[in-house]
Amino acid sequence: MNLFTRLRQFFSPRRDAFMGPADREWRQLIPQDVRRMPGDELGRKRAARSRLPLVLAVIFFATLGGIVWVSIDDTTAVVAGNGALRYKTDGFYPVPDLQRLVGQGKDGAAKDVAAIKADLEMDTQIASADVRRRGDGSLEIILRERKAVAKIASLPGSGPMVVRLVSPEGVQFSGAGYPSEAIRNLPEIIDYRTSGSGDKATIEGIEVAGPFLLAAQSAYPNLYREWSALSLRDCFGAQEDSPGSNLRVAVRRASQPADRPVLTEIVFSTANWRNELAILSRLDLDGLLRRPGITAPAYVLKLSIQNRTSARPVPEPRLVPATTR
Amino acid sequence: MTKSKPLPSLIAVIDIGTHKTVGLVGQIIDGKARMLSFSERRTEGVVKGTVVDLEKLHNCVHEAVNDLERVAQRGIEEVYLTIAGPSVAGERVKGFVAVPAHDGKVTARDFNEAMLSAKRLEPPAGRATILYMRQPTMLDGKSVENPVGLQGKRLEVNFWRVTMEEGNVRFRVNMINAMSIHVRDFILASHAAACALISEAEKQGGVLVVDFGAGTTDWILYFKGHILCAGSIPVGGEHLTNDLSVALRISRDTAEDLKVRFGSALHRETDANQTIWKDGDKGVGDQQFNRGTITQVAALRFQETLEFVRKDVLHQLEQIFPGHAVKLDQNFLPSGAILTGGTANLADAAEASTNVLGLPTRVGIPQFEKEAYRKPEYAGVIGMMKAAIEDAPPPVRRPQGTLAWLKDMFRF
Repeated sequence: MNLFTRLRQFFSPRRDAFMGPADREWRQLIPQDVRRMPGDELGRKRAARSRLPLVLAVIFFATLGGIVWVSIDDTTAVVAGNGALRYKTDGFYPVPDLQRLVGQGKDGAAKDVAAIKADLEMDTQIASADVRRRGDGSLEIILRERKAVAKIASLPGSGPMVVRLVSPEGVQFSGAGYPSEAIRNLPEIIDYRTSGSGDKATIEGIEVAGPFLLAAQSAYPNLYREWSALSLRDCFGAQEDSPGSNLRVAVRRASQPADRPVLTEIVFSTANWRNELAILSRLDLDGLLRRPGITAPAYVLKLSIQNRTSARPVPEPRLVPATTR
Repeated sequence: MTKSKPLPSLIAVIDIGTHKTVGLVGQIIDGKARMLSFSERRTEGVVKGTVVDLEKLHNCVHEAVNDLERVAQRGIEEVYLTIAGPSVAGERVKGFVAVPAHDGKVTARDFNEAMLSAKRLEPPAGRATILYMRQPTMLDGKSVENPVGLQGKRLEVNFWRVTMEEGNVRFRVNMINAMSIHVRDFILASHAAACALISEAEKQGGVLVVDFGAGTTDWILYFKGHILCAGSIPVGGEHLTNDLSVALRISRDTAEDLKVRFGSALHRETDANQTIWKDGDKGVGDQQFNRGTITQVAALRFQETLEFVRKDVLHQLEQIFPGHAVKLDQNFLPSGAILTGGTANLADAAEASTNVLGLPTRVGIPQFEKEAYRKPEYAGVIGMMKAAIEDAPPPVRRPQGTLAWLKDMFRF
């Protein structure tokens, strides 16, 4: 019965009037209302039974799909011959180093996964390692590497200068597998003091400098790329609120135009570097350095100076002519 | 070129009788049904073809559906149901049209007009039209199979219209819907039985099919290839059991047992000399009866029921052929009569029927792939499957949901 017939019936003075053969045909007279779920217990059991094959089929195909997906996961590289080792990392850890670690133990037998995991995690470059043996006997290794935010150069008592990378947590690592360009573009931490030695050496003030560099690298990558060094000369340990405690960032000269004074350094306070980074990202440094009255050949941008004329100090970036140290 | 196979379709039929509910699920492949499951349950809540306890009937049918689905390992979405009993009635409806074309040729439009005019007649108040069954189409008084393209002046289309009390249809539909199943169509029980038993040649010649069930006796008469009339008598095999129970003062279960084992549709003088035992071990609690009493009671009721059928058939024929003295004999129905249903298993049923109806009678046993079901009591459900295949196309998956609702709303 279509809409117009229904409307006509609704407005009709006599509903009982015979309106043609369809009017008394059982299908029109008794519209079928099939319940999706029967009301009684037997019906519910029937419904559950009728859906069981579908549910089982879905589970089967989902499992099958999962197995296929894992099998053809191209993000995991097969590094060893005949598929004996599958390796995946979020960094640059080199395959030869990995194979050396996975190799046979002292007794010539294959290492177990716990031993491989322990060996891998001994390397400070690796934050965590997930090592498992697959059903076909092959080994699957998934690495999570530390993120490098800076580098430090040290001159041991004998031998050439050693460059090591620094993670935001202050952990130093060799940076095995890192491309030389990536290492070159990292800012170098200078004027630092260390306690301890080797991989366990701790850089004083890295508790502040680490998060600072990580925030700059992730939130302000364009600024970060222009930084060549971070001086911890005036960074007094982890005391962020110490008066005069600064993070001094050296800016790459080569990336600046030659027709205006050079910005040599940016000074952040250890207490307020988050706000200062935000202010820096909004500053038109090029315009500032081209203003009339900017006569010195090089300037330092001090973001840590605060205007104390009002009740509440307000950060006030200021360009100060650079002096030779 | 190889003809492509049609998609397999599932057809489910349920015959709700007074004594038992029988269901059958078949898979249709290349127009033939292959049985997937068969279910038989004792019907509860039905007396003489009338529903007296809906809840009991619902549980019984639901159990049958459950059995069918479990064995077939398929869910039933649509089902065909039989209709029979005193709530079902049939009548002949006619539609006329004067062929308007200048050359007198009947067009498809004329034919449709005639069919519509036949169906435009209002059914009795409180009754729903269940189905229309084709009867011979007459062109200028001559019977034609397809009048389109033939020349004539007056086209007459006849149908046998089956109606049922609206409330009776409603509760059947609601009962099936409550099981999450759609009622695809209703099939007249006697027509279903006939589909399993008679050939096209028998239909052409003329044949009377009597479905002697437990609660009702349904009959249908085919003439010149079409249904001529049908009817139902609210007397069945259970009345025989009841009579035996009263006459011999025994329980109904015992009476049913004796009827099946020793009952006969004909009473012979020699039966009076036979003594039979209820259990046969002649021990404590065993009872002896005179077989003559049993056959006499059963035969009387059996023959009386067939006499009712004969009178009902003649009454209907008088209405269809007014003024003609139609006799129920082999001249009118050369193919005779076919007796089916559970009570047709009674001994000498065919012979007794021949005597009463005046027609050569045989007991109709349906042809079926499983030998266990080649019995007269299963003719209805097996024939339903055949009728479902012949009368309706295999179920077609229709669009459901909002789109279907929109289409239905704007359908002219």
